[in-house]
Amino acid sequence: MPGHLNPASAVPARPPMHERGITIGDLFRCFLVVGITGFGGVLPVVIHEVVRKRGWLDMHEFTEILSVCQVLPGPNIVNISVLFGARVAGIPGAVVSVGGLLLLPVALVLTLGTVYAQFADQPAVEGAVRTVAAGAAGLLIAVTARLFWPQRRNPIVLGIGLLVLLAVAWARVPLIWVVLGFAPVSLALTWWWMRRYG
Amino acid sequence: MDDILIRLLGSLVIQSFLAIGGIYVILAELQRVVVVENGWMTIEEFTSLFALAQAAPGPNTLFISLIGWRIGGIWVGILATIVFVTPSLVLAAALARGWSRWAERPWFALLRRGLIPVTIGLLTASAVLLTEAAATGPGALAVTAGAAALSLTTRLPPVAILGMAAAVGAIGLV
Repeated sequence: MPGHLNPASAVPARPPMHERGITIGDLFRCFLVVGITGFGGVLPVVIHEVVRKRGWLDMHEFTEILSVCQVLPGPNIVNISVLFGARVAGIPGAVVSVGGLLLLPVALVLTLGTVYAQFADQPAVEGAVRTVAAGAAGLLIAVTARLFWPQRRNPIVLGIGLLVLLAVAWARVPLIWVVLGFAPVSLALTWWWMRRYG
Repeated sequence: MDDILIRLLGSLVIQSFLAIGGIYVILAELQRVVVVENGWMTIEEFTSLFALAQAAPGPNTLFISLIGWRIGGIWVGILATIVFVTPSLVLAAALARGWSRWAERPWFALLRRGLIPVTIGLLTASAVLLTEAAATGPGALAVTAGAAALSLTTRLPPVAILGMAAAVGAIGLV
């Protein structure tokens, strides 16, 4: 019984995103926090703020949005903020989300860029930058585990996931070719599976 | 300046459409346009701006802001950012409009479900590559493992976990 491939049927239906009581102000504040605390990769912070802390999306909804944003051009995090913001509150929602995301970081680097760069040569800062990078890798491992766990019995995720992993991390195939090459295969296999098992 | 501005912003619009999967995909092309073809900055400046974008909080899109800033000051930095994110803003917003309308269509269900395997593979690869780059020794590896464990078992925000990692590095423990 391959019902695990259709998690939507196992999860009680939630109201559509624009009916979850999220205001424009909520969106702006949320992405403001995401932007300014997003050191060493923003994805873990988005998941923490949107899924774990505020419960605006469940993990499956987030995985779907991330997957679609992955094949859209542009930075994934920007795409996620726009797509989520627009689904909650239309175009104004999209604009405040991406605005909140970029506002403080852009203001920070454009005004303090030179100061920041000089700071980076201090030994204590150098040490901290190294361990922050190590910590950020750990956060990404946790994110990956969290996204993978609900899909662990999906044979297409296991097969395609492993091939993509090898292509990127081992064979060092440029990302754009990995996406263009594996996305159609993954879609075709999933289509076949959905027709066969529903 | 106007001429430089038009060339820079024109190039950024095109790059924005090519950046499928993120900014890393277009780094080589950006470098060609900014350093080799137009000589707007040296390769060293280009690299240090990228390092700065990564060290600062926020998405790596900041790199585009910094390139604009280096070429023409704060306003060009802001303009470059807006020009670079606008195409994805339009596309993602259009997709969001369609999402509720198409939600029940089989092809849209396929699109949402069928890309998850690629996403999981890409994320795993990023985690592997980041760990490889950051694991300069057993101490750094312990920080990586500790951060992963804290994130999975507690509700601490990521910035708190990275703050602990920074403290460990700043006092020279690792």
